[in-house]
Order: sequence, then structure tokens, then C-alpha cells
Amino acid sequence: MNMLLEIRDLHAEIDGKEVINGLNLKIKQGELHVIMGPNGSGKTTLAKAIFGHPAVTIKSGDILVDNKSILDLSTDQRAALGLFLGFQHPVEIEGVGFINFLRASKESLNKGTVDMKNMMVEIKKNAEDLKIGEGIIGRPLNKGFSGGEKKKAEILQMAIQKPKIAILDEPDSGLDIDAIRVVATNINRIVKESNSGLLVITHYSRILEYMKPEFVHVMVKGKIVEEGNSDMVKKLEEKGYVNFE
Amino acid sequence: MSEYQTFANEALELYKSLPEETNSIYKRRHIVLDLSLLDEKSELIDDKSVIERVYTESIAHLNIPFDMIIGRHGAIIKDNPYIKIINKSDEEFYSILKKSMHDKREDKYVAFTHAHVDQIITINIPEDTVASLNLLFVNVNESLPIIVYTKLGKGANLKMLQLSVSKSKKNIFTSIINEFDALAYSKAEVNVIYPQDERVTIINNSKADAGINADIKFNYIYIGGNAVRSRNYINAVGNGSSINANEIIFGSKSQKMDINTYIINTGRETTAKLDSKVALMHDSICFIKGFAKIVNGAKESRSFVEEGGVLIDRTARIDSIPSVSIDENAVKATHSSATGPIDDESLFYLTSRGIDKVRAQQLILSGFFSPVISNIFDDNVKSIISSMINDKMKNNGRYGVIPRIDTTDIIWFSKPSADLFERHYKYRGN
Repeated sequence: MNMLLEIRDLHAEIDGKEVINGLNLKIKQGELHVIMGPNGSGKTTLAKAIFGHPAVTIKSGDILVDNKSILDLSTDQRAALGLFLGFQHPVEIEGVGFINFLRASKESLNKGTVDMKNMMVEIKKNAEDLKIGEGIIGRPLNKGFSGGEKKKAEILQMAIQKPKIAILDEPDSGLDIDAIRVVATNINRIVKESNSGLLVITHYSRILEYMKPEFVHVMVKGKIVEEGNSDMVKKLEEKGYVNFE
Repeated sequence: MSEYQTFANEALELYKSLPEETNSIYKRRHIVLDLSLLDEKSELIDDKSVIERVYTESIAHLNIPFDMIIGRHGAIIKDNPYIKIINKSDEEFYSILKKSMHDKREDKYVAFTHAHVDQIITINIPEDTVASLNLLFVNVNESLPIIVYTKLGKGANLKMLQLSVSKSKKNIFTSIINEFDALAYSKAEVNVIYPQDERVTIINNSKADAGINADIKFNYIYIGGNAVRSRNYINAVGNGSSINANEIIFGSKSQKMDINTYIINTGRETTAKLDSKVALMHDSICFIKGFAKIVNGAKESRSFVEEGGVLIDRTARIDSIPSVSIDENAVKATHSSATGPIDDESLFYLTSRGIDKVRAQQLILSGFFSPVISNIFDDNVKSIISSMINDKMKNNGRYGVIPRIDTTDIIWFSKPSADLFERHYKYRGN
């Protein structure tokens, strides 16, 4: 059965300030959604709210997976349902090896041991596809990675995790033109191979030239103000967000 | 009354009269040990089967080839030309004790140990000899005061593990005094690990002198014991010598730890480094006091003190006090300290990948301790320490159990040179 992620009339705060203001959204496994919006519209907070970030307080509304609320689940339990979050700013963690971290993640999600030989083959193949140097494999998690390597490493993790629904928060920011194409092509491949649902959060249309979203949502001041198909992207590119503010 | 008895009585009086802390900087930052229930003199008991049983039950699974296992119930020494145990009944006992590098007047607990010690271990590594020694100290219902006197001959190399274990139904102490004399061009790594259970109060004292161009490293691992009081003085005496002290402190429950290490540059062109990492959970407390001293005449010397702390629970307390005292110009010295809680964003990142909170904390801690662990040359010791840290984290702060080696979350970065001794003068150009 395909997973359904549903956000119902969500109101959420950070530091006492309402950032999500009555947001509704449904994403089915296999669908490609995009949220676009100006700076400060609450896009990243939405991603964090879905994953239960401790700084985000849900005031009302609900987040459901297959019609069951996930608000009481811990962050790792939400991931175990098949959700994946690609971070806008991946955290650097001193001394935690990238491979060790991937193994811990995979073991936790599989609830068992992992065949390291197969996992290494998979990592190397995806690293090659993403044009990431093998050097990152021996380094601490995100430590000393360039901006591009960090973004690509997030996609590599997505490939290993094979999520049912992935939320990618600005997977294109800080990437050069060639890297955007490589990242987008690989996201498309992984989504196809894993039959994942996808929510891409972005400011710009460039990455969408390679992705063809089925649903485009415009988010302003904490809620969805307009929805449409991929034609909406062109419209936003021409006129900006001014009309929605 | 024998000379020794007079010495012991004087030491006991000193113990009773000396203050807990003599360094004015630390007057308000130290723990007080209650040894009133522990300081009754007990005699050696000749029953080696007791320590054999504890070895089999507690530690045999690590497969460490111990060269010596010692407790109050006796000692087992494998055929080894370097180790000798000297008992109170031996003639040389008092003459060795009298020459001790530790002046019992300087420290309350050195005096306490001098008043009670009845076994001295001497380790003599001859000139130009390479040796590796594993020592196991066993507390079984009896306290263990002991002095280890190590002398490294010119150009000798030594790797030494000192591991303490305990099994006790009553409150006891382990007090180990290390006296270490490394002659010119010698090299050593000494790993001192204290994983004992909550019945044990740990007293650790070390004094080490590095001779000309000698290179010595002490790694202290404090994981167990209801209270730990440690005083270490490591001195780069000889010109061109290098000293290095690394400390891992992982406290939980109501453990109290007072760790004070002095690194001293005395010779010219010497290097001294102290790296301390503390992680605490529950209501544990740690005073971590690194003191770098560069004495007058230690020209062109370098000294570094780095202290890092992580509070896993906000109810724990770390007082981190790095200090530097410089009496010489033309030297380089730094000191730093940083303590904080486990970073919420790091925890969120790891848990967003399906890793539960405890394992995520365990990974972060492994990463935090990694710079110190990676600096240890002996891979086996690295694995033992990492396994103890992981076990303590996984089991809500339990200690006193020696876990099986678990390499699941172990990875080390910035590995030191593959051969600790590769830059040794004897091997240059080979």
C-alpha cells in the first residue's frame, strides 16, 4: 500500500512565534510535490515539524501517516515509518564516521544487522553517480565537506535509506549549474527505483527544469496560498511572490 | 620500632593533618574522600585462587595476556624478567619507599597510601629494550594500596597497560601510585584504566620524569568508582623531551571525580600536552584541572592544555579549570576549555535517520572522545576503552562491568603514525 502523508490545519510555533499558520497538505507515495515560497515563509519549519524537531511546538492541527497521527512519535520513529528529511544545512558531527553513521542508520531502520559488503557497494555506486569523491567515505560526518558535497551526501543517504516519502529542504542551494543537474538526475533515479513520494522545498525554478513536479504549492506566511501544476513554476519565475504577500 | 614502622606512623599522622587541597587555585574545587571506613590496615592474604576466580569471571573474555595479576590476596606473575614484587618483609622495601618521587608531605592521599602500602612493584626495562607489559589490579573485598615504580633504561621502549577490576561487598579503595623514570631517548605509552564498581573509591597518583629526548605518554581512563581523586605530575625534565597526557572521564549516577594533572616543562626545547575530555550524565560531578607549568630555563618549549566537556544531563556538573604558569620567555603555550550540553541539532540530525536517542548520544560521545582515543597507539586498548564507553551509555550509566569488545560504533580518525616508535632515533633511516 502506498504511504499517505497528510498535514491537517497545522499551527506551529518557534520561540513563541507562530510560523505555520493553518497549513494543509497531502503527499502520496509516488507523487512529486514542490513547495515554493519567499524567505521566512515557514518552509523549513514545516519540514522540521513533520520530523518532530524539539524547537517546533505544535499548537493545533495534526500530521498523519496513513491516517494515524504521528505527533506522539519520536523523530527516529517517524523516520522508521519511511520518512526522510534532506537537510538545508546538514550538521557536522566531529568524530562520527560517515560510514559508521550510515550503518547505524540502516541497522536502526532494518532493526537488525547490515551486510556491510553490500552496503559499501551501494554507497560506492551512488557516490559515483553523484560524482562525490570517495574521500568523504573515510571522513567524519559532513566534517570538511564542501557545500556541494554536503548536499550530495544527503542524496546519497536518501539512496541508501530508500524512503517512502522524502522531504528535501533546498537540495539545490549552494550548488553550481552542473551539480544541480547531477543532484536532480539522481533524485529522479532514486525516486523511481524506490517508488518514493517527494516534497522538494525550494526558492528557485532551476532544479525543477530537471524534475517535472506534478503538484506545486506556494507557501506564504505559514500557509499554502496557491496550488497548481508545473506551469505555476514558470509563472512564479516571471512574477515572483509579490502577488501572494 | 622499625624504620619503616616509624615512616608509616608519620605518614598516617600527616594524612590526618594535611588539607584536602594545597593549591590555592583549587581550594573550592575539589572533592573530599571519606576514607574513615576504609583506612583500617589489612594484611596480605595468601589465597591466589580468589584473584584467579575474579580474573576468570570478570575479564578473561578480553583475552589480554596479563604479565601480572595482583591484589591483596596474592600475585600471579608470568615468567617475566622485568617485573618484581617487593613485600613489606623484604629488606629493600623501605629503602625503595624512602626514595619515592612522591613526597608524602605534599599530598594527603599520598601520605595515606604510604601509611598503608605493603607491596611495591618494580619494573626495570633495560637499556635499548622494547617491552610490552599488561598489569591487572584486582580488588576483592579488600582495599589495594600499591606503588608501581618503573624505570626505563636509556633508549628503551615500553607499552604498558594498567587495568583495575573489583568485586566487593564492602566499601574499599584502590590507591595506585605510579612513579615513572624515563631515561634519555626512551619512549613509552602507559594506559591506566579504572572501570571499578560503585563500592570502590579510586585514588590515583602519578609522577613521571622524561629524560633527554625521551618521549612519554600517559592515557588515563576514569569510568568507574564511586569517587575518583587523581593527581598527576608529568615533567619534561631532559632537554628535547616530550610528554603527553590524555584523559577520558565518563561519569554517571552520583560519581564524583576530581582530576588534577600538572604538565611541566623543565628542560629546554621540551613539549608538553594535556588533552582532557569529560562527559557526565545523571548527577555526577567532575572537577577537571589541567595545569601547565613552564619553569625558568625551559627555553624554546611548548605547552598545550585542552579541556572539553559534554553534559549529557543538565543535572550533572563540570568545573573545568585550565591553568598556565609561565616563568620563561620565548616559549609557546596555549590553554582552552569548552563545555556544553549535547548539541540538539546533532541529535535531531542523527535521529532523523532512524537512530534512537541513546545510540545517537552514544555516536556523539564516541565522536567527542575520538581525538583522545585515536591518539592511543595500542588498538586493543582503544577497543577496550570504546567498548566500556558504549556499554556505559547503552546501560544507563552502569559501571563496574568489563564488557566484551564491541566494535559496532568504533571508528578512529587522525590515527597516529602506524608505528609509535618510527621516529625514534634508533630506527631513523631504517
